[in-house]
Amino acid sequence: MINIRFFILSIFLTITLNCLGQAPGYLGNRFFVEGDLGLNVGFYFPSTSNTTDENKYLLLRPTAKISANWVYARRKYVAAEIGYQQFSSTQDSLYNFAGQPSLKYRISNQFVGIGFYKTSRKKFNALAPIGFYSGFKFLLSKSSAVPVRYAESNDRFEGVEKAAYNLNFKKTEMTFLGLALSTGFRTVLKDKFTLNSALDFGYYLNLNNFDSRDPSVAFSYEELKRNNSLYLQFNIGFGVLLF
Amino acid sequence: MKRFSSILLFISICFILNGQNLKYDRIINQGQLPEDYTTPSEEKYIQSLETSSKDQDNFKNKNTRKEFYLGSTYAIDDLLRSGYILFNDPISKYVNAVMDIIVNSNPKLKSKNPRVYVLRSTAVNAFATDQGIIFISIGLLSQLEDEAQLALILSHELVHIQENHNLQDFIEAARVDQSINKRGRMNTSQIDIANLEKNRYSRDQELEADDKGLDYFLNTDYSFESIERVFDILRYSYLPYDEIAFEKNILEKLSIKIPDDYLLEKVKDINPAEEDEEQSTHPALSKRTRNLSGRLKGLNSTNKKDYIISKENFLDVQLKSRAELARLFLDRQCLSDAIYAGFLMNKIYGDSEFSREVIGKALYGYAKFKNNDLLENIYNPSYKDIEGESQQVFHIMKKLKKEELTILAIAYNYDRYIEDSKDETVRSLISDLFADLYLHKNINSLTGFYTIKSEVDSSEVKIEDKELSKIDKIKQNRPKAEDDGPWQRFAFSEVLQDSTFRNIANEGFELGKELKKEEDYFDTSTYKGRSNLRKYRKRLEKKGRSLGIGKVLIINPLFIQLKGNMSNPSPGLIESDKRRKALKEILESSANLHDVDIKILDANSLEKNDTEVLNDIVIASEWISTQLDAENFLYKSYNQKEIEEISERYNTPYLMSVVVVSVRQSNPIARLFNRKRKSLIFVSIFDVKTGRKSFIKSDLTSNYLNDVFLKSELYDAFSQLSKQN
Repeated sequence: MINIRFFILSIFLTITLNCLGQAPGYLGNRFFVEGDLGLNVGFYFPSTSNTTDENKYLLLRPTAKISANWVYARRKYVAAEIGYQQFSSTQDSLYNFAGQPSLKYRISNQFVGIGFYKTSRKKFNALAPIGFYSGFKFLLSKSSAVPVRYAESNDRFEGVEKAAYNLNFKKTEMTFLGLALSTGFRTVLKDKFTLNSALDFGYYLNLNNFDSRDPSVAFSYEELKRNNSLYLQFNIGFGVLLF
Repeated sequence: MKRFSSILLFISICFILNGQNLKYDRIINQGQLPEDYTTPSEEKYIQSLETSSKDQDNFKNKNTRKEFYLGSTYAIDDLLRSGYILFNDPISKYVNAVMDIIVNSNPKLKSKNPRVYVLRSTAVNAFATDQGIIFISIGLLSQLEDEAQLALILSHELVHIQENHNLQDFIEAARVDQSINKRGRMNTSQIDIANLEKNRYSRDQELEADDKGLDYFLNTDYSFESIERVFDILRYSYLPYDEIAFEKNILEKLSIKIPDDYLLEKVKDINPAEEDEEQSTHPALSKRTRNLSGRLKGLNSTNKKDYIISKENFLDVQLKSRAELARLFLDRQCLSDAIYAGFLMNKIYGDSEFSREVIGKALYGYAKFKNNDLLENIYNPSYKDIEGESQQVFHIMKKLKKEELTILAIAYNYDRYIEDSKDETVRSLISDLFADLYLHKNINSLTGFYTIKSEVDSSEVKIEDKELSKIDKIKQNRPKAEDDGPWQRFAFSEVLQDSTFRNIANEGFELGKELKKEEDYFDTSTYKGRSNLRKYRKRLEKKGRSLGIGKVLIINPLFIQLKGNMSNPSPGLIESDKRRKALKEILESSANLHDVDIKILDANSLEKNDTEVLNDIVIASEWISTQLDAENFLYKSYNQKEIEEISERYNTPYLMSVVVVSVRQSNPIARLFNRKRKSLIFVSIFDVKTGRKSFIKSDLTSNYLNDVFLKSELYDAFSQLSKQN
């Protein structure tokens, strides 16, 4: 706990001290809030419990996030972000050792993150927050999965049976730590608004140890793990320079 | 009565030629700004198009016409506002008066409303533009021998205006290019053929101008006896306006004596290059002379005069032109030429404060650039390429070693300081040179200078007389250091004990010590220096500079918008104009955000009463230009005194120069993928008093500098400017 306090204090002091230095921002505006809409492309790999699965594919996940950004040096800024993703994912029947058909899950991710960025100096000589930038960010993501329906043979399990099935499968949650590299370009419109396009490349690390004998919960965990690994995310953001 | 007039003329010429009284002030523009300055370029361009559209016959191609008027209007306006032009001054008034005489004798010329501006250029040249403007250079005026010769040149240029030669030339060039282009992409030989064809057309126009110009001239009362020599003047125009054997004693002040072997035994013969008519836009001068002589044969020159206005007036203009030429040599950093020009002024008009000033400043400048190994930044051709008597100066300047030249410059300027007005600016030049001795030759006191040469000589004799010890023999046989010949060490014999001299020297050594300390701090040959430099650069990158400046004078903010192909960009004239206006607004708003008080002096937005502002811009631009040549060392420009006056008037010692160049490709796909550099932003601050300069922004980047980037960059520049340390 002391270490975490020390860590937070260090970050606070670094930012504050840098702010006392020369930090022009854009026409003196150092703080801006940005809303981003993006498409997250997840690399959906076979899980450890199903190494025979050869159906690797990409998963498209719409993402929305809001970030608060603070320019703390001439070419540097820090961003705190909070975001949400929701998508559905299909679990192959191969998982279902009990002979059950494939399931479709509704998965939602809620994440918070902190990112550190630097605008390019050599090629595009730009001062934060405009111009090309690159940086990295840490994310803490809470991911939850709820099975919503059968992915196959819709006519086999209808009505009461389906309802009963959903009752058996509870909402499952997992926490992930993400690390992402980010690059993009931001410009300013009318001296007040920001327009951003960005590309993130990240990886989620599972922080949970789960040990459940309930196969349905295990399936959900497995599915969440499979959906939170490598990803590539394209964002378009629009924001406002506040002060 | 006639006798009385002759005496009066003699007295007035003597007065003009009385060098001791010659205290030449810089020629400045006077009165109200002419309309050519105050009308916006875009407006002129539209007017030209409207006027020309009435005369459609001349234009087969609408685009060619547009291109011509766009290019010529903006080019002429740029020239007018560059500060290289004089108006309403005594020289311009006189030249315009001569032109009026020609125009009055040829009334049809009035239709084009011709006017003459004097071009502040050392080149020997005159040219006319489609707008009815004739430009005649100071270089040419300084070489002309009488008023009639001036009239002939103006007559020639008036033909170019009357016959629309510029426009026709442009159309012909476009036609030639077009006809060759039809056969496909031009290769080198085709380009050569095209150039030859264009040159031929241009030569024909020149011959026409010679011919018709002579008609205009003959309609006046000017005598044609001297006009054949005009072509000789042009032939030898690369030489100074006079050929007088250079005497090195003009440089030898105090006790200094330049060794005789620093002079060439014989200067290079004058031998103008053979004229290759084919490659030139002008006909061979020999041909032009023959044509002129042919036309003049048999003509009677009775009642014709060399001077219609007056000889005194011409001589006065000639003197002013020659003095201005000397200043121009200083401005263009042609320092050897400036020394010879000062020498000529001395010989022709007598020793004067002005000629001494020119030589003193040129010696100072040459010494500074030599000491800092930056001679490539000034005009410094090999003496072997120079013909005529001025070659001696180039040779001496080449032979003088750093220490010798610095001491020579000190001696010369100290003599000026004592003889003339004890000017503080001269004093600062001397102490600056002493600082250079400290910095570059490690001379940190006057103890290394001998008081009386004979004492040293006698001591040397004594050594020979007595039995020599081992140490004496070693010392005597030791070869003299090539770089530090002893002769210059006797330079200050007579003033070494003067308190004024010693004080100036000590000021210089102190300054040198201070500068040395700064130099050592970043000395990259030591670990500590490298580390300091690293830290400094890191700090700059992170926090920028902290200059703590509250008021600044911005001189001619410049925005050049280039467009088209990256490898061959062309200036977007109208776009540049618009973006320059935007740049001014951004500068004002950025300065406001930081509470920096700015005053922008912009030659492109002058009102008719802004003549003084234009004069200030000219001085400041010239000063900044020489400061930029000096790169990283402290340098007192030749117009230091004038810039200090301006800085006092505007109540700030800080000048700012802002230059933005941006290339935007016409092709949007190429724009996306091209990796070549696309823009440059250059913001520099100059402290007029100390000569310190700071390059806040000197970035060559790949991003297209739209207004957003520009605002960000300039906001940052003002942030660094205003931030207190």
